[in-house]
Amino acid sequence: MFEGKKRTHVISVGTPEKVNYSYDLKQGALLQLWRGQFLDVTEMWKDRGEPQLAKPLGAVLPLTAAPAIAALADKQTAWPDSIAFDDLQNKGYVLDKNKMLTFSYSSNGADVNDKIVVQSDGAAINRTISVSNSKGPLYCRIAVGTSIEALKNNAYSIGNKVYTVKLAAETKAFIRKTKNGEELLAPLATGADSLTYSLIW
Amino acid sequence: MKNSKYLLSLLLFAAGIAKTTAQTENQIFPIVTVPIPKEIALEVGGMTVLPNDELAVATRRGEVWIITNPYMKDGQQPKYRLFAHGMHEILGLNYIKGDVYLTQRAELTRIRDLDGDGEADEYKTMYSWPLSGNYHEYAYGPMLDKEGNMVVTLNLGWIGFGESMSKWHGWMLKFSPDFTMKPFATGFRSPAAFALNGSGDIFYAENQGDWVGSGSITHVEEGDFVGNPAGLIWADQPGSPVKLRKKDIPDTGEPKYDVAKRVSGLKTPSVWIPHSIMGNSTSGILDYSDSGNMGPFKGQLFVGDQAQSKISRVFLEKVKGVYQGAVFPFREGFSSGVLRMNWGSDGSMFVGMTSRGWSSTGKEEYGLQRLTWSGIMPFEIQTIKAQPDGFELEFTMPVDEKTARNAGSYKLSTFTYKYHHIYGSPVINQSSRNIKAIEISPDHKRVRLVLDSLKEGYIHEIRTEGIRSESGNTPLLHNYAYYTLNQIPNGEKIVATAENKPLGAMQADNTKQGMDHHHMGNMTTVTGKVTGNTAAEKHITKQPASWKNGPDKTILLGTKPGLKFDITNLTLKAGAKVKLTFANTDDMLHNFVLTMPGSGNIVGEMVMKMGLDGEKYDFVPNSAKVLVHTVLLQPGKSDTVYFTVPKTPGIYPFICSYPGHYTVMKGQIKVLK
Repeated sequence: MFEGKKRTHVISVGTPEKVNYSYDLKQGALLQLWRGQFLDVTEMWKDRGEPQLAKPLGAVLPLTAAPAIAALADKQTAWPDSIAFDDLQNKGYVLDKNKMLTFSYSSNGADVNDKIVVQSDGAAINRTISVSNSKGPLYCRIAVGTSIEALKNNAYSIGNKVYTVKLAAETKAFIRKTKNGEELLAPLATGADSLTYSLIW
Repeated sequence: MKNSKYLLSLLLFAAGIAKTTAQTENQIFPIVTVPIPKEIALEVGGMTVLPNDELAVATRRGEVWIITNPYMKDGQQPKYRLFAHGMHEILGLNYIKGDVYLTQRAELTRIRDLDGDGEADEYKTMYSWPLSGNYHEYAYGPMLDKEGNMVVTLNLGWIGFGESMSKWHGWMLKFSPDFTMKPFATGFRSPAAFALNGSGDIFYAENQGDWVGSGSITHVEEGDFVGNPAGLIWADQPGSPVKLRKKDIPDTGEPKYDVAKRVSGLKTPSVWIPHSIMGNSTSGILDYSDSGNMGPFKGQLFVGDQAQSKISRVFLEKVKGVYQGAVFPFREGFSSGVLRMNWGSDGSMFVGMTSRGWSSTGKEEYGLQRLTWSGIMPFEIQTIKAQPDGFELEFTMPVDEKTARNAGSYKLSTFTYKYHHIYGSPVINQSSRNIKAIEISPDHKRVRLVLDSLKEGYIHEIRTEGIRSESGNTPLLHNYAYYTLNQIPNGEKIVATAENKPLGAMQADNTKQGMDHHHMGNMTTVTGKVTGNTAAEKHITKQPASWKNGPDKTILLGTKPGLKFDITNLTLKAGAKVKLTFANTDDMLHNFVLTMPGSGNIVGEMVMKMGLDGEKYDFVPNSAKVLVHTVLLQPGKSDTVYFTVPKTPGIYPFICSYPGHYTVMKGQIKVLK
């Protein structure tokens, strides 16, 4: 469940650092983060597994159910809430030596890799989004909140200090207003491009 | 007069059995349990044998285990290694063209160990389908068809009835080598298993439910509609080869075969697997190819049953281009619910099991066993082939001519099921068939039975209790089979003569009283025939006029998922007047049966002996041990009964007496003074 809706193509990942996250494979969306115990899967594994829900065992930091990548007609175009089932081809994931996952999918005519690494001290996660074969400019929405404040060193405070994102020095992000608050976007160049940020909470 | 004759013949049979040693399943097909480490919940959803002779097992908890030496060669224990995990209810696993493929609820996945450390590190989604999130949206496969496509089936969701709540549920899908998806056929309800026979044709196993009178296996071809209309909602989508639409499907309760005659595109089962007798929940299918070593049945199919923890055997033949054939009992007594079967490299059969959420006769929550053949020739009916005027039974050994020529050795009847939106079906249009002539082949291995008539489209019950082997006077290991007669072959009919005239008379016609069937295996505590309850005072649905002040106590009893009553302990005062409403909120058929103290299991076992008549009597046996019962309730229905609590204090068990449910779906009423 996320924002009151049962999500059917979600994977949750737990780590020895007790930093856990959920990822919507059909949106390319990092849904939520939490620290502590992993999941209560009683409602998937007891009896017939009704109603098919896995519940985080910790205080959840909700992020977004919207896709991370979108093609926008112009800088005023609103960020899409979702991408249609057939418009994103999820291709699975690969584990690295430290068992950190890189998700792959294609959407908006581009191939996307989305690597999520839990920092060894558990203080943050690092997310690297790479696109290749894109036919036109794309945007990545890094964060969304009621308000976003630019800090120094290419860092931003999201939602009145709920969490912080720190971008690589070369990433040029911008804040824009939404109906309900603000969001932090960064452009991705046609062809191949990538960006990395840390999410600290 | 009829009854006394019947009793006499039973006594004679009993005497015959006492004189000789009957074969047992245990002796001929021993079961070996593969031990599972305590910390592993091996709820088997899929299995495949790897080229290095390891066994890979996928579980409902999303793990893939690789088991080294599952044969326990040299007395060594098997070793388990976790190869992959974190997936969503895997119900199919296969090794195809050098890779491990599996189905999760939402996708067809390929897993690879890229760095060679023995653990999968690439989980590649080959195709993803939508889900509504309903628990009943299971996915099965993949299997490679003879053209090199992968085949997957998707279950209907369950919302009080089967529904295709997201795209392609209720369908069989095919994937070309580049993973382009092609919808292949629909009408599936719960297609938990499918396999190719020796000719490369696809057969799938279906479970009783709405639009499905009984379990069956069905030959699936492109564009087929196999019966449950829910999947037809997608039949107009691009790529669909299915011409039928929901509105084309009548809901009249006529036999499916009759409906199929006028609804072109509706496919009927190749072989019905009569419900509650041959199984409750048809599961894995395994072709007896050259990889197996399981006695003299090469070319036949083995079909598992989850609820009854057993495996049946199916002989198929093609008549006028249509598959049909017979189902025989084969082996019962597995430790949990049989879901998957695979051949091991030594010709033994791996049997992977899980029963979570549904009950099974084998009481373990999950299990892995290996079925072996001792090499002893079982005395069985090897095949039954349809003839223009009857059937030819082929036996694994020569039969004793005297018993084979005696009409009293056989009993034949025909019946079918209703095709309708209601869950399951009673046995309908049942009638007995008479033998007009019997011809025995010179080698005494084939017996041709000429009947008074054949009924096209019907299931023919063929019982052969009286047959003995020529050497040793041994009874058959299993003495009944069910032949689904889709087509009557052309050919020469046998003329009744003095030579082929049967000796003796056929067994008394007791079809209306229910069928007896003897378990030659290992679980007989109730023997003989059990008939259905006809005592109306055990099912009073109106408040008795004498209850001037109404009931003393009103009880609302419901169900919980996983075959449970929501109340399992009740305390009532002796002689109290009770109004009890049982509401079935589950997705299966249930009833409520209150029994005499200590009789819950006995009544449950009696039901297993009610045979074809069980459902007609709501699975309530005619027994003094039954005190009160409701009718057999469809999902979502309820029944209210009025009864007076027994005067004698004690513990009175209540059960759901639907075949097999009583062992888990039970409770008790404590009656106090």
